[in-house]
Amino acid sequence: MPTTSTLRTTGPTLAYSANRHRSELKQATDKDLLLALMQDDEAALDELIERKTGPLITAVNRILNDTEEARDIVQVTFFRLWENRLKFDDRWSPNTWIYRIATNLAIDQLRSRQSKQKNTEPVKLHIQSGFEDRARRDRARLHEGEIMSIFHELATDLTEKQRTVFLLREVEGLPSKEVSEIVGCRESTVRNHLFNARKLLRKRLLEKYPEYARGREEGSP
Amino acid sequence: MSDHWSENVNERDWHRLTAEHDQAPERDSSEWLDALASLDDPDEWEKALEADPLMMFQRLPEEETTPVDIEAMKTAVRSMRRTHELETRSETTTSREKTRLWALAALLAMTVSAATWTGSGMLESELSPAQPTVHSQIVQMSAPAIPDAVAQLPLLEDVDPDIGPFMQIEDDGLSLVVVMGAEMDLSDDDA
Repeated sequence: MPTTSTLRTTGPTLAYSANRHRSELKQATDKDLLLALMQDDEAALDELIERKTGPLITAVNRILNDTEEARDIVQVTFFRLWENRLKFDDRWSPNTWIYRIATNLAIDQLRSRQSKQKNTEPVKLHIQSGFEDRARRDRARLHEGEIMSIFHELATDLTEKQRTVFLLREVEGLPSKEVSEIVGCRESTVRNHLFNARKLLRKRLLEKYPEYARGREEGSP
Repeated sequence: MSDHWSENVNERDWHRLTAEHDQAPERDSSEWLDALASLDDPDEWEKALEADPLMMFQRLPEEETTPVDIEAMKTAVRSMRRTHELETRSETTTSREKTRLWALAALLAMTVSAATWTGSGMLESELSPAQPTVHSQIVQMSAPAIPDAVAQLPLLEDVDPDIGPFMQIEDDGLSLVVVMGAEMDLSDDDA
């Protein structure tokens, strides 16, 4: 039979313990968090959500060009991360493991879109409306939002894998080996996807935005 | 003269760097990584774009997430997990109930079989009181409990109670009729 004094100290002690645990998790590496997840540690999942939500939404939105869809995908990613926590192999990089789940979901989502209409919005007209004189456009003053719009307009012609590989490698700056593990193909295939994506993007850029493509046009053999 | 020399040495050759990257985009030389790190400098940015317009995609925007977004994500994931757990539990429970029902049915069948044996004297004559068989144990353990449980179950409309002693169990997706020592005919044209 617990005494009154025991009951009084139980709550604060547990709360203190939980807080201390959370603050310990803040110092933990991503791998430690995934290992804690395997021990059913829900606080570790919360910490991963704090760390990875922003980068994951950014990465998935770059693939999908739809922030709301990206948020949904990231939500499912964390859910899958929890459901499959026992399958995590600590030889993998935590980022590879998490990005693999997220990009696979994003690619599935991309494929499930019946029409590419959503991606072929007349962004060019939108961009042009901001400029009275086309000749005044300055590449150095390109806004990030405009770059995003241009990318999604040009990337419509890329396959899902080409687009994902380009974004992970060129934009996120992940090493080729990691990209190959995330996408689930050989490094040589990553190289091919990357090469073809760059070639196609450059071609479309020259066709649709020659004013931005001036440098390479002059510099290329 | 010396200042001019050092200026030329320090100037980054973006045309060469981007051409090399174009040939082997899967590689990360330290020179390339240093060059990428310098893109926040407007001059370097302009030169990089001049050399290769695809460099513009190095600056795709990042999504801004606020603490409210993070908390919303935690709540959404937690809710998703709870819903999944409840669904899984519900499926498991249904499956467990069916298993229990089948086990009860099997037990009934074994009980009836054992009771019939015992009743006819076939088994009793072979039994040693000191070493009861499995059949006799089942009869002793289950016989009092089963009739009460079964008596509460509803009857199937199509079964004629006059065909003989039978027991009947019904549940979602499961209907079981155990008939003892009699023939049963459920056809509509049975006269």
